[in-house]
Amino acid sequence: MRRLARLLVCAALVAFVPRPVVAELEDVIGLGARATALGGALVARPGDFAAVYYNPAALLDPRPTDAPAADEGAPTTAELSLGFVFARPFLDVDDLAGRPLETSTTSPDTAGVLLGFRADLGEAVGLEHGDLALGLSLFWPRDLFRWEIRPDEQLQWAFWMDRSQVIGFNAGAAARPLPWLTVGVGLRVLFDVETFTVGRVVDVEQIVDPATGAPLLDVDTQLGENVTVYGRVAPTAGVMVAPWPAVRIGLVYRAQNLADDWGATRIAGVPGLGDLGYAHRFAHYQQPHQVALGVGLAASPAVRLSVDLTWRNWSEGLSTYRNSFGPGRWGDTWSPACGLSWAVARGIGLLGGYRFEPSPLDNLGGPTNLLDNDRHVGSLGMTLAFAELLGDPDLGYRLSWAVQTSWLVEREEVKDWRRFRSDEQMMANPGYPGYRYGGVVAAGVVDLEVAW
Amino acid sequence: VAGRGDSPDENVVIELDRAVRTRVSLLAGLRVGPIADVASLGVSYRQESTSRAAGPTRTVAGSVLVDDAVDFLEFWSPHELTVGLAASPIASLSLSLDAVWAKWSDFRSIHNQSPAHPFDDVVLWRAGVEWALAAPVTLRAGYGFEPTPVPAQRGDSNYLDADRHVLAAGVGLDLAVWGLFPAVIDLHVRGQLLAEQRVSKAIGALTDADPAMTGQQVDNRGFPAFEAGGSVWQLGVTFTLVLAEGGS
Repeated sequence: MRRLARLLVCAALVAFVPRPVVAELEDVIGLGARATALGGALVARPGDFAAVYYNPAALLDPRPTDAPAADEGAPTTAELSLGFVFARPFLDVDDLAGRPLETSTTSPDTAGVLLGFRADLGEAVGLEHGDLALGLSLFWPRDLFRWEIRPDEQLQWAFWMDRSQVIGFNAGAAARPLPWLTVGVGLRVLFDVETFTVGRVVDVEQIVDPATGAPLLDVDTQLGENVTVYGRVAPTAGVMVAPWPAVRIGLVYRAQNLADDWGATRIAGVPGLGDLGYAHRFAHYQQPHQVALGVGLAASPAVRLSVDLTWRNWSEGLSTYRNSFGPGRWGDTWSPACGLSWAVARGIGLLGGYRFEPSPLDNLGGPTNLLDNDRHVGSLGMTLAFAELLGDPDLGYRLSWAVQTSWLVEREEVKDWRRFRSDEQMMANPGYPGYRYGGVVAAGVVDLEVAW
Repeated sequence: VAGRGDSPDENVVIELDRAVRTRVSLLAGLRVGPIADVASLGVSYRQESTSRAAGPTRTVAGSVLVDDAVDFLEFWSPHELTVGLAASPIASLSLSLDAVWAKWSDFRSIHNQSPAHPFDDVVLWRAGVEWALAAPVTLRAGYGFEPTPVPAQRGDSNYLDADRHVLAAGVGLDLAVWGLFPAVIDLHVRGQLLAEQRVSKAIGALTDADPAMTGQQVDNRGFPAFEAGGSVWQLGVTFTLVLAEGGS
């Protein structure tokens, strides 16, 4: 009982250290080469820092073994990982006659550096090795964050725009209160942005609009801005059990989170109008409530299999323009994933994974033109553990790489006149009369881990 | 979204692009020691750094067009070169003295402009003492003098700043000594005491607010004089978990 109390105190201490987190790279590509290669099926697969997102309880193995899987490595006190992530979307939108259409937003490459850390704190706090662990991850993309906001009526990719191009932190702690049970908690933190722009008119000039020829009042202003970025926290909690030595079962809950973006713009002293202004409120990087169940199986000493099923509460989702379309337009999804690791030789592991991600967007044909497809995501990877490979236990390095392809199943949307207020409004819609869209997103991750 | 209704509120279209990019500046240092078994010497360089917000804003309301750009700098900090000396005359006591040269003459204002009267480069002085009183307690104290880089504000600008005396104290507690976690808790308090800034405007150095009128018109908020001062207090706690033997 005293041991359990000490574990809980330690876990609480670690859990309440402030840690910001985001979960975009994790779902779109993968948190590190191993997670990417295994298709993100890590809810019941202990092994590295990536567990801070996929299941904090998996920062520890309920039944530590001296014969870890090819992708897991031998038990160590701490591991530090440095990785590089790159992804490039190849997306197509065509009208119904097959002519290419331009979207109103861009779909940029994702490129960034990923840092991961996991430490076993068991012995450090007077417990046994494998009783308490801490994990951290940091994804630092080329742009710390970027977004392009357009009304939902404009033609734009709903999720292949900026979701993986945002700084992300994950952290969690795990404890092993019973020899067959680990529990984990974490915090996922996004950020909110508040922007107030004020302007004061200093000069006015009458000009002619070069496009329409209409007279315009060109107003020069002195602008000022107040911008504040706030942290936003969402918890993660998970458990993992080992009912038999070869089996792991994991369950994790990840709370909803998003970047709330609000503010106002006000220009004072506009001739003929007085004050001119508007308020705005947008939602970025929305992550719905998620519950994932996973099973891990050691099919043989060399082969490990993991299968996950994730429920995502997209029916409460918001578009970037903060419209809630609700069930019938946006629906909850069930996403299966599986991963396989195979120790083909001493120190060499081959990894593979697959997951299916159904689109939450449904009932197309209305005024909005948010593009999203069902996705088949396949991945392959390899780990090289130099200590085993070269027979030198002092070489605590592990090199991993993964490649991943997301196939977007082609989808067609034809505008439905019953969903518009008038024919005029329907025909003015940027998506009228309809379009088809699909594509491929290719990603690669490589990381080097050092353990001690 | 425009077109959803007849009121102005239902006909507003907002398009916003925002990207926050990483800006990198160099930090470099070297340390030489021990010198005569008790001292060490260090040098460090911190490159100038800033955060910049720039881009166009365009608002259209009927026949009114507001099409301007913003270009703001935030968190500007100058090139800094530091030379420091540390000595430990007895095992339980360490002393340190730093001199920091800060190149404030390159200062850019929040509107990304150089001041009409450039700031002065300054040398900051900092001294600290750490005393391992007895396990598990370590005491720390420090003092710094930071002259203001802001010249006398006799013209149009009204930058508020003054010489600063910085006083600090702290205590560290090693929990491992009491058989608890292998961790250290450090507490500190720091006060920045600003000398009083007294400014008297020179009317000849002020811009004429309305040249069309006879005589010099003044609308400067700092005219004819102002005083500024104050203090800033900080409290902090640091929790360090020791993962390996030999740390503290």
